[in-house]
Order: sequence, then C-alpha cells, then structure tokens
Amino acid sequence: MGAQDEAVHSSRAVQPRSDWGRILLTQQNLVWIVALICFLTFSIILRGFARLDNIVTLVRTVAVLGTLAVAMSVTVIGHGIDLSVASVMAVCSAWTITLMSLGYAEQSAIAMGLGLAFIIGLVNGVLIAYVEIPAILATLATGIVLFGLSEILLIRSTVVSLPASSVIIRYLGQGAFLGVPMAIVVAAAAVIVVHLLLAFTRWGRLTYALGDNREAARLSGVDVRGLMLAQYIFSSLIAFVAGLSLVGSGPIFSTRIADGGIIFDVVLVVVLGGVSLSGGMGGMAGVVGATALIGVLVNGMTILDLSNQMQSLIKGTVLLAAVVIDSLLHPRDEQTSRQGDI
Amino acid sequence: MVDLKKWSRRVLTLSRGALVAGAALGLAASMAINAASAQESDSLRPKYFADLKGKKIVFLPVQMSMDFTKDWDRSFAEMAKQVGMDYSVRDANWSSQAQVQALDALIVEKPDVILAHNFNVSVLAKQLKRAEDAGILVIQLNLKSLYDTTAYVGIDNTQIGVVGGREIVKDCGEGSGKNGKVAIIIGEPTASDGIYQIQGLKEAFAKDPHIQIVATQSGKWDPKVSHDVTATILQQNPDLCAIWSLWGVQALGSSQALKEANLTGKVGLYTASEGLRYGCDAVKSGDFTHLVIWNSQQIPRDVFQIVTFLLQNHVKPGTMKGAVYTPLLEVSKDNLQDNMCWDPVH
Repeated sequence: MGAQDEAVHSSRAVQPRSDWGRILLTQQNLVWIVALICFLTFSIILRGFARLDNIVTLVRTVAVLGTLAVAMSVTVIGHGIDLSVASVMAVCSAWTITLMSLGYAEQSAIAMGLGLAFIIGLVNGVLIAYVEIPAILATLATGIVLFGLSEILLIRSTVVSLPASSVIIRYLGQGAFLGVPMAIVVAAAAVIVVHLLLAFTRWGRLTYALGDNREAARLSGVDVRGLMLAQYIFSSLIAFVAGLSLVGSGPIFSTRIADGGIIFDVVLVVVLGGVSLSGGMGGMAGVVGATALIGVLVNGMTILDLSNQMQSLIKGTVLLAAVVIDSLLHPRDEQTSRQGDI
Repeated sequence: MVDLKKWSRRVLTLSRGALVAGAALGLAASMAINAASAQESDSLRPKYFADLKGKKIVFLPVQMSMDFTKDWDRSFAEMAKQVGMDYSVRDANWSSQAQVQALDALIVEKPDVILAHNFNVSVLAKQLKRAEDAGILVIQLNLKSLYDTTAYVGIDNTQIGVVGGREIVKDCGEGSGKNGKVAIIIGEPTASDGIYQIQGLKEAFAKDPHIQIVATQSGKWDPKVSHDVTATILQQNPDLCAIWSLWGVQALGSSQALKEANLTGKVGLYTASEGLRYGCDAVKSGDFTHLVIWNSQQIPRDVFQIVTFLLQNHVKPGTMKGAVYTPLLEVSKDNLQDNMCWDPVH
C-alpha cells in the first residue's frame, strides 16, 4: 500500500517536478493556442465560420475521432498504444447492426457487440502484458485480424444499413440531449469519465506510474500485468461506444473507415495533445485541444475548398511538427529509454 | 386383241420411270439427310471449346466486399465454369499496395486473361503494360487506368457526368429561378471515376454560365466522410441548389446531412449507382432527386463476350484497343419502377 503510494508520487504527471510540470503545461497550452489562432483566423477570413451551427457541425465531424483518441490515450499514458481501436470501433458496431438485421433484439445485439469488443481488448492485454509482445505490433495485428474476420465471418460486406427497428443506436447517432447532438454528448461523456478515472482514482494514478516507469511500479507492488489488461479492455470498450454513435448517425455505414487512415489521425490527436509516446504524461485537456485543432483545420480547409492532397499535406506537416516537438520536450536518455520502446 | 408387246414395253417404260423417280427421290432424300447432318455439327463449336478450355482468367478487384463486386465474381465464376476456364480472384481489399503486389505476382504466373479493376489511374499503369507485353490479355473494368489495354468494359463516367450535369442545368440553370450553386463530391481523389465525371459535368455546365461550382471535395467512397463534407458545405452555402455525388452509397451520407439541415428536397441530390435496391428506395423517398444507373449486372456478360472472342482469334495482347460502355438508365420519381433496381444475393 505504502509502496504503491510511493510509486504514485514518483510519477511526474501527478506530482511533477517543477521543470516537467512547466513543459507539460506548455505542450498542452501550445495545442490550445494554435487551435485558437486557427479558429480566429478562419473566423475572420471565412464568412459563417464562427456561426454556432458551423461550430456544432465542426465538433460533430471530429466527435468520433476525439472519442477514439480518448480510448487510445489511456493505453499511451500506460506506455503502450492501441492501434486496434479503429477496427474495434467499425467492426464491432457494424456487427451489432448486422445481428439486428438477422433478427436479434437491439439490446442483445449491443451486448454481443460489447462482448466482442471486450474479447479484443482482453486479447490485446494478454498479448502485451503476459506474452510481452510490443503493444504497437500486438494491437496492429489484432486490428487487422478483426477486420479480416469481419469480412469472412461477421459482416461479409463493407457496407451495412441501420435497421429501421433500431432505437438506442439511432438515438446515440441522431438524437439530441438538451439540444446537443448525441454524437457530441457521447464524446464528451468519454472525455469526462476518462478524466475522472485518470485524475482521481488509484487505477488512474497507477496508470501514470506504470507509464512513467514500469519497473519501479512493479517493484512498488503494483499488479502491472493486471493493470495493462484493464487498460486495453477499457480502450476497446470506449472504441465500441464511439462506433455505435457512428453507425447510428446515418442510414448506411462503411467499415472501410477503419481502413482509411483514421488511425493515423487518432495517433496525431494523441501526440499533438501532449500524451507522450514515452508514457506517463498528458491528459484529457490536451486531447480535447488537439481534437479541436484537427476539427478547425478540416472544417476550414473544406470551406476553403482545398483539394484532398493539400489537406493531407497540411495534416501531415502538423503531425510531423507534433512528433518533433514531442521529442524535443521529452528527450530520451538512459533513464527513459526502455527495451521494446515504440 | 391386246398388243402384248406394246403393253410390255409400256410397263417396262413405266417401271423404268418409277425406278428413275425412285432413285431420284432416294437421292434427294439422302441429300436432305446429309444436309441436315451438316447443320447438326456446328463448325464453330469445337474451336470455341478448344480455344477456351483450361484458359486461366483472373479477376483483380479493388475489393470483394461490396454487393456489386460479389455479383461480378459469381457471374464470372459461373460463366468460366460453363466453358471450362480456370477462374480465380486476387482481392486487393481496398489496398492499392496489395493490388500492385498481386499484379506483380500475376505477371510471373502468366494467366491468359486479367480482369483489372484499377484502384486509381496511375498505380497499375506500368504493370498493365508489362502484363500485356508478357502476353497476358488485360481487360479493364469500370475503373480505368491511364494506360489503355486491349479492352475497357464498364461505366462511361464522362457520359454519367454529362447526363447528371444536364439534369442539374435543367433544375438549377438559367431560367429555373434558382441561383445555380452546385457542389461536387467525388470519391477517392485519384480514381478515374471522379476525374472523368468532373469532365462530363463541366462539359454540361459549360452550356449554362448561370451554373457556379462552389465546392469540389472528396467523399472517399465513404458515407461518413461524405456526410461530414456535405454538412460543412451546407453550413457555408445553405442556399445551394444541387449536390452531385459520385456514387449512391456515399450520396446516402450526403442525404443524411441534408435531412439534418432540413434541406431534403430543397437542395437537389444527383448521383449515380450500380443499380442496387437502395438507389431506387432513395429516389422513392425523395432523398435522391435524380439517379443515373449503370447496371453493374450487365458488365460480366460484356466482359465474357470480349474475352471469348479475343481468345478464339488468338489476338496478341495490345494489338487491338477498344471500349464497351455499359448503357445508362436515368431514374427519377417520374419514371421510377421496381424492376429498375436489383436485389443483392446474400
């Protein structure tokens, strides 16, 4: 117990040494400042950009991206990464509505989809924590396997339609709570829940401790493997909820979204938001800021009618800058570099 | 007194005549039989089967997970089986890299015919030429490469643009009382379908200076991406007159965005599809204003006609070049009938 608390207190994210604290603040602030500058610039040069309707559209566009980034940051803070979130999001939710069109009740279909997401998280966790495969390889593989399974066994098509009988899923995608579209509410709920867990529970603080220094955490008596298992299951479950909101948002859904580079956008948001790939750092404030920045960029570039190639170029440059800043602010040394680093 | 001699002579003559007649009849009959047996054996048939039997034909699709490509696969397999051809598929599964690798392997493997469904205009161009140089007949399907092989079979995307554009000009152009604002949403930015459709649309719009293109964006063949792009464009141009969407599946994403903005029916949605049921349903519900159907079910037959003809004539790959465009069907609420669309088999 005492040892665990010590591990918690040694974590720089929770009890940061003054210099780390300043740098961390700088990176999180930086993304917010850039987002704000872009927002103000577009507001001035683009007619109608700052209108409430457009801002709601903007936030809706990146709600799923943000939710996936939240899911992934849980694992990145624990010094891992979950690249299977895109597949879990698309395949488990598409399978859920496929089951509904096969005659399953909505609740049981959702339960089965949730079960599948749980299993994928469990497999990820076991591969990483017990078999000790690097997280980037294990989750990349499970994501590909799940996507393959979906075409051979589960869905057999990339395009699925939302059944007319759907109530819950349709509400998650198209409904509104107090006038706010549910897609945004779902993303906000994910942010709040994960923030509370990370900041105020022992589980969250141990996640930082694990990400900061796994060996120190283990020596302090933390159940490192169990903790990792829980992180990957949790990240899968959040991804599934994001998927439900996404399939509910339209009459038709294509699982190809998981194959279309969204995972790179998710990594972009996570790193841009100051959740360092070296683990143990960052939080929800940065992730939300980075999501907002991407939303502002994508929305503004669409209004400017930039070509797809130009949009990719700009997004890629931002990612590159984020990775460079990340490695400048969090340099690797003998203390921080570990075997199996990603 | 009966002239016996005379009678016997007459009988002899008669019988001789009968004999001649009988012989003639017999000859005629035998000739008729011969003629009939000559008709029974079709002289083209043995060569047809000899030239086709055992020939290797490989389908190289962008993906095998859509209803229309699955339908193609079923038809190709069935037709190949009937003539004893050896048919197989190399699914690129939405990855241009996988398609490049599959084609590289095929050039070494050297089948007789490759049916190429190009991911984009350039990715396979060099390899398609290499394949034809290696003696493989290459038929391109629906999505064209910059390099023209022996035959192209499928959509005439330029014409789809012309037809859809003409309809938009009718509804939004000079004299319609509308402002003429049009947004274009294509699919993958480098695929041939969008590039040619834009050419066709611009050809149609050139006839009416009132038409004004306010946005050209990519929906990446994906309803979610199309939805987001449409929602953003509508924020900027709520007075839009028409949206052209490259393909029905992604147009459904745009229709959802129109619904959310309460603009269904006010902003026209013009699109094209392979003829699956969802398209007719969307026309019926008013989500699609106008739909151009290129009936994907006709394509496998056109492909097989060309393949069998080329193989029977031992045509050297690359020595002939030509296109077979699929006929187009225009569907709107005015002429909608159930049999214009087809149901997928699961």
